[in-house]
Amino acid sequence: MTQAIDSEETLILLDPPAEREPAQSPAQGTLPRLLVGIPAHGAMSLREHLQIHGPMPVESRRRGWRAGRARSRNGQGNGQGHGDGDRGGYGYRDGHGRGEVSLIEDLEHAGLRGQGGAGFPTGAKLRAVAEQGKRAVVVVNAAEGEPASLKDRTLMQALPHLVLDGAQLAARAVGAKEVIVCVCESAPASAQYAAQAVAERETASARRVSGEASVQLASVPGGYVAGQETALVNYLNGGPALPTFTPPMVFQQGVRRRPTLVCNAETFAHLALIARHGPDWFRELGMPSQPGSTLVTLAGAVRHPGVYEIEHGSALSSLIDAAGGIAAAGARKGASRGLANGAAADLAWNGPAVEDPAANSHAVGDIAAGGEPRALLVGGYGGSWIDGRMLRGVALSDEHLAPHDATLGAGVVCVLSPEACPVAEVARLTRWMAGQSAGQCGPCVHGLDAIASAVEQIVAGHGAEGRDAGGRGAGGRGAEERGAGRGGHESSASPASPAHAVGEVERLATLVNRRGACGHPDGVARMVASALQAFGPEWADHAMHGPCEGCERVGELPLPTPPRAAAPVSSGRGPRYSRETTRRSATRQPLRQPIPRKATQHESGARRAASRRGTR
Amino acid sequence: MSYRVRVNPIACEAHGMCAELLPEAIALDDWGYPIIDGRPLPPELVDHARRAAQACPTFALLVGSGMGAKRRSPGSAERKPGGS
Repeated sequence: MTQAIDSEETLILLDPPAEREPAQSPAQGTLPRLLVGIPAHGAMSLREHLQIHGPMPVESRRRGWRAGRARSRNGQGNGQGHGDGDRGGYGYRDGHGRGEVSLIEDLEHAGLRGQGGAGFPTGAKLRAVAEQGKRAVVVVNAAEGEPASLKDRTLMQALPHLVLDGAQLAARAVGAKEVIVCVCESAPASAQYAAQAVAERETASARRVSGEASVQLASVPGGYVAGQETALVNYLNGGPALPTFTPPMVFQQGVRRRPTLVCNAETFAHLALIARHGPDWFRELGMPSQPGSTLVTLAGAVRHPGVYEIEHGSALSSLIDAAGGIAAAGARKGASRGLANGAAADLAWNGPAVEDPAANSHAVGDIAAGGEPRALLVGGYGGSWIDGRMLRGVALSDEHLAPHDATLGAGVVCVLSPEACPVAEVARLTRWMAGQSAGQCGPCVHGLDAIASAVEQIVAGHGAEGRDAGGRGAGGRGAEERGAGRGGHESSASPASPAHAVGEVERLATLVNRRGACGHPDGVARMVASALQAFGPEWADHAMHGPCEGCERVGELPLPTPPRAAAPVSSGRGPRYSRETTRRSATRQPLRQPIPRKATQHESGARRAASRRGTR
Repeated sequence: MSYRVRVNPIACEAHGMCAELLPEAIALDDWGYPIIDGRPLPPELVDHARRAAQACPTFALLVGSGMGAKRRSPGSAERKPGGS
């Protein structure tokens, strides 16, 4: 089973823990759950998977996927015959004495939400697909375009059977006979081990073990937006990995115009366990508003960055402690040096879960003594920044993060070290995110580029007086300089003041929000707006005085390096925007130049509006 | 029956006909792309909205009923990229 891992992807570097408990079943109400028995190298075999988790629940003999009629909450399906019965809930015999139960009901009671970032209730999603009443398709989304996230490729590489079980169970519930597993093309090891796992299941004779739906693997491009559900479906249908306009939603028409269930790989893994142990077991951990456990990827300035399983609502401090505390750049084990071709070449991956965070006595309520983080970026590169001083007592759940205008998203937690310059990191991320635009929607293409330019201008010191800032004195960034700069200019907000420059970024962020076909501009707007809130003094300081010492060390947060053989997108007119990685399909025409707004257009519109009012 | 106006941002190429013909509900941003007021249209503007939709060279402007407030449907939350 332990074959050589592709050399580009040294993903598994697990330290054998000093005392390792034998792999226990997740049936107890403790962590780990998903990560039980995760192997140090390679994938967990089917045999070991069955030993730990047992087989998937058996489909009830009397019910088939077409005519399943499970017990519903009120005892009846709805009038159209598409209630819990026909498609909505297949019946299976629960191994814990509950008799026949419906998976969709179990998911609704468990409160499982999507783990890919949007957090949509999984039970409702399955129900929506099932209620279409047609043959459906299940898509496992392990595309993981978020650069700092490792959890999905970790699952596909090390625990593929958990994910495949979940996909098979979901396929049964929604009436699908086909499962398509999408892995990122820059994570070849994940594809390799996933393919091995599929082959293992095909040779197992018992249907209960392998499931009835056919399983295919698909390798999808590694762009940031390629994992968005309409982009994924677009790609599977033969188009580019770019989002499409909705409606129709993918649950209505997706792969080959069939109702399609697209869920994150981790969501299917949780589903596989809920089907075995029930919704009450799932709710034993976590919080009422956000039950269960989840995988987070801890990246940046910690000693052991990697994938951890936590309980919703556990303290950030205990997670950082489990990762060995804050580390200076040099002391980081497997310090992120960037990702090669989108693969996680350098981040150390750590299997064991955060055991019983509340009992981690020297960490509760306090960031560990190794230093405090300078800042936290939660939810990925489209998430929210939180300044280090606000991190005391912060816990990892949407409810706890809401006062900070943040959500857990896809469980990415990026830690900035005390030596880093947050605004320089923001400028770097913003420019990269702008380059990841699909290039289809004007507000996104133009707006993100404008935001990135405006942010870069501020960081470079052009945000004041319309000229290069005078640079910094020999004493560095003194507090008195900051105080003077802020006090003098913010109140007047003259056109060339830092407040004006920041205000311009805020205006652009508001302008692009919700005006694209997908949520990419929304994420960038959120990330930048939260950075403006969190780092007010730093923005003003850079606008007045230009780059600081920390700016030279920019690069703590991982970004994929451009592919080695970057094929230029040629549509005859050439790419209109030079970006690190061009994602636009070669068959699409480039966007037109923006039409200069004629003053007369506004006047004629106003005249038209006035005349309409006049005739009333 | 409340009507709303909506734009398909992928099809839109910033010709600006919509803002010209329905200035009460559509303004143009820095680059000429429409900013749609998401509120229901007053009844007297519905015909004008339909004319604006017909005038769009790329059929990007859409007029319809029940297109409005984002219900928490299985699709509306899945705009997020990055692996839903």
